[in-house]
Amino acid sequence: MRGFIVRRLLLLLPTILAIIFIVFFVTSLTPGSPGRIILGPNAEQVNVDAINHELGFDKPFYARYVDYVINVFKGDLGKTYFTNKPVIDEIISRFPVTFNLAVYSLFFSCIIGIPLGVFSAVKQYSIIDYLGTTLAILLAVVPTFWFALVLILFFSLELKMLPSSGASSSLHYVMPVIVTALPAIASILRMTRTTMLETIRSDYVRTARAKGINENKVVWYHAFKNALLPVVTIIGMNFGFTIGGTVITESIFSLPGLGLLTINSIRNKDIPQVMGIVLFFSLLFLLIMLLIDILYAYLDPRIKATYDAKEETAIRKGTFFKRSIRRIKRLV
Amino acid sequence: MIKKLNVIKIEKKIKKKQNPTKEVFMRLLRNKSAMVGIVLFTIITMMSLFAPLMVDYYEDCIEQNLVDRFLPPSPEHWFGTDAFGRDIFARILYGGRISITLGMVSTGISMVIGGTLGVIAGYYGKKPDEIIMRIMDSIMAIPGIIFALAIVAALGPEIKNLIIAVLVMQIPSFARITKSAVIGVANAEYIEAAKTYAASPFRIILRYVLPNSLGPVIVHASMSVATMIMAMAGLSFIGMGVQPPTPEWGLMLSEAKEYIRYMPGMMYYPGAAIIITALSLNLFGDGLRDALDPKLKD
Repeated sequence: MRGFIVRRLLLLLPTILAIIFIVFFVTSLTPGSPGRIILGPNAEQVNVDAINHELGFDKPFYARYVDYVINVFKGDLGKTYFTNKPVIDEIISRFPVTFNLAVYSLFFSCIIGIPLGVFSAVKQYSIIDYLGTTLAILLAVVPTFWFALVLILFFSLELKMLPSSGASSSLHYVMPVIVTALPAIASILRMTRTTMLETIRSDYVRTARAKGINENKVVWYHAFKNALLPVVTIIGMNFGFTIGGTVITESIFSLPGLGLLTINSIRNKDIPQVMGIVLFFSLLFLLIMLLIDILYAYLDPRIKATYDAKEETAIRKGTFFKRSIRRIKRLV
Repeated sequence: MIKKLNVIKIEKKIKKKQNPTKEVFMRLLRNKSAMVGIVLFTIITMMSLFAPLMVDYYEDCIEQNLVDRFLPPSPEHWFGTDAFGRDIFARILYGGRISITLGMVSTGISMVIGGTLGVIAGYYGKKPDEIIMRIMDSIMAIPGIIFALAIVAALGPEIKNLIIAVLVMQIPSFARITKSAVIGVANAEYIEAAKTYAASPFRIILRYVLPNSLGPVIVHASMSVATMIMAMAGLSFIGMGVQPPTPEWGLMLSEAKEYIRYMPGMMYYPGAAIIITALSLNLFGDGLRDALDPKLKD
């Protein structure tokens, strides 16, 4: 198992390099040099050139890319153009808001999506099933920003119950959490329903029923436990989408999180900041997917056995690290 | 006598099976939600397509007429007017032209790019597969909307850059779906047969692999149009997409947000337009998936 984790971590390396390259390439398409962006259109060309030289912008593209990669692995994402603070500090100071928003809304979508999905599968073609599937279809097509406006209209303007912007109290999080949770509810509900429908028709569930175990235990202990794996994957993937979705939610509700920072730095053309955030989000997503793969092994002993078997053959064929490094060399 | 009847029945069954495209089409026609989706989408597309017959683009959608601002719905202005006295109904119609066209164009391009990569990865396997999929995984790891924002920010908020931004988001999923569909048919006997008489790989892919693996790709494409429309509306909503005064649904919503206190009605129409369009495409996609593979239907 440890070997599997190490190998997956090593395999993250080429992916990270590719992500950095993609992000670096895209942001380098921005017209104008950093000096010009920092000093404004009226600055003297000499001063602009001086700043460009200082930031290493006068080097060719690949040299800047290599520099950036080296700095990233040192934990240095550069400095923002405008506040001149380290990018990583800005990200860390803003991250808790976004993280809370994502975790709460994911939790919220799980407690709504999973039970609804299970019930619609257990009572297929009943009213609950009908409502559940309709809800899943509707939630998937309602634009979050529109739903946010509707919520603001009712809860802030009409009923005056919830604040519509800021993050000073926990009440400020209610509407953003609901809005961010919408698409996640839809996909979790769908996934739970599909996998539950599959497991509930399997032989061991029939056996459990034949033994006379009460229905609740059959559903939650025998069927649900086995249907959980794909749902876990979907939850993990939704964490990625949710983090991305916070951009729009945060800009509507003026939550001072990473999403708002993204939009502001894009408006200011603060390229190091934009790159830093995109990179940070992508790394977070990769790590979460890795965690889920590891979680899989603990949830399902069969998967752990395949991991362990692979590890054993790897050890037999030569040291594991040599193989991994050879593999990375082949890829890069 | 009974034997003969059975033979005839079996023959009929075989004959029916001979045209799978027709069979899929018949199943699609029988699927209620898919038909609702098709009808809704046709209505929306037709209304947007024939918008010039009903309203005038410059007079109703662009020209500001401050005397008529915030008018309630009336026979003259079906959905009322917005903050600049422009007819909301006309703007919704023309917004549909932009949103649906952009959604289809970006889906088409990303289907071609992602599909090509997926076919290469699925048909050749091994090294090409590993390299392509590694790159696709990297793109997939970048949160879609943030990546799109970064692209729009770098290239500038123009319509063509908006298309690039959202289509890049969808390339990996097209590549993945095409790849798994291609792998599903790559070992089929007819492919082997084609290989034995030395058909070129290009011909094998074009004539045998593609037609047989197109189904899931088309299903994904119909849903992807909806995703793209919503993503572009979202980008326009935060000011990073289509720029005013062009009528676009997301942009109209962000304008409605400014006047949410005075005229909340303004935000319902563009929202409903997005929801109905996305809903119709999703219903159609779901129905098509069931029609293509009845086994999958639960």
